[in-house]
Amino acid sequence: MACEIVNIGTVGDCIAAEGGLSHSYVTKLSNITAVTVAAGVITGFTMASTGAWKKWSYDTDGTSSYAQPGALNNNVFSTNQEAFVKVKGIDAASVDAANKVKQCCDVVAIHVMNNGTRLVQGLEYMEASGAPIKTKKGNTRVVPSVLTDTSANESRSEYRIQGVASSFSNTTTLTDTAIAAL
Amino acid sequence: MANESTAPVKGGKQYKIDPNAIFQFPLMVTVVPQNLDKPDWTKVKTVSLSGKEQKKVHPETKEAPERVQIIEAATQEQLKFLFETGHPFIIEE
Repeated sequence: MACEIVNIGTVGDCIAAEGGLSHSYVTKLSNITAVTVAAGVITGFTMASTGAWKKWSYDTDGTSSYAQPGALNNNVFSTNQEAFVKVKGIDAASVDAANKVKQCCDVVAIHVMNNGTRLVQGLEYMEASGAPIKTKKGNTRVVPSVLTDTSANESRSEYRIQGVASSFSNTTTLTDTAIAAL
Repeated sequence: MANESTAPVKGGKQYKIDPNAIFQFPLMVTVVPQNLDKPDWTKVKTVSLSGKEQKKVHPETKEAPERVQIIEAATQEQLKFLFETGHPFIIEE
């Protein structure tokens, strides 16, 4: 991507700029065989088989987020991408889910923001259709935590989806219905 | 009568899925716009890139009973469209 400076400004009205994540769809990178891109937006994924996207629904308590802070190290740009999500309650199923997901070496997540924008974590920014390009500087993995907390608070599972990329995430037009049908 | 999926598109070119890709990923699926003439990527349908129809079972949930989704094989028009978007696995015959 060549250097270019473009106009920037407030994205829509203040209401449209609300932050936080509603839910996400997560899969292993190895399930994605190709990515279709138009004008810098991911329009579709080709999957190795159906049913590979799993829906993660979060507590509506203002804690979920996806951060992509930029940094320079010896004039080389990178971004430590981290999504933080939380699901209340601990049971056998949630412990099993945490133990399984921590084994995955590379994941891709479609984060659905509360304002409707969808960001794809786990891939470098793609300008054209092709094979998926994983995050170059650090694998995108899920780091779960299983917390009982004290009797004054709720028990919960917390998931940090972490990776280090050279570029920011593409958005995608894929709807919940389309993802569920893949 | 020619099968819709195999009839040549206008201009006579035929498109197919890279056999090496099918060998490596025999159950591939992807999405294409429902209307190829006025593509709207927020309105898409799932198509099979395995060369044949697939079935996907959606298990019962609290909101809906179990259902079977039929995923049709991509037609020539759809393969042409994907080729023109730069899909890496669609090639001209």
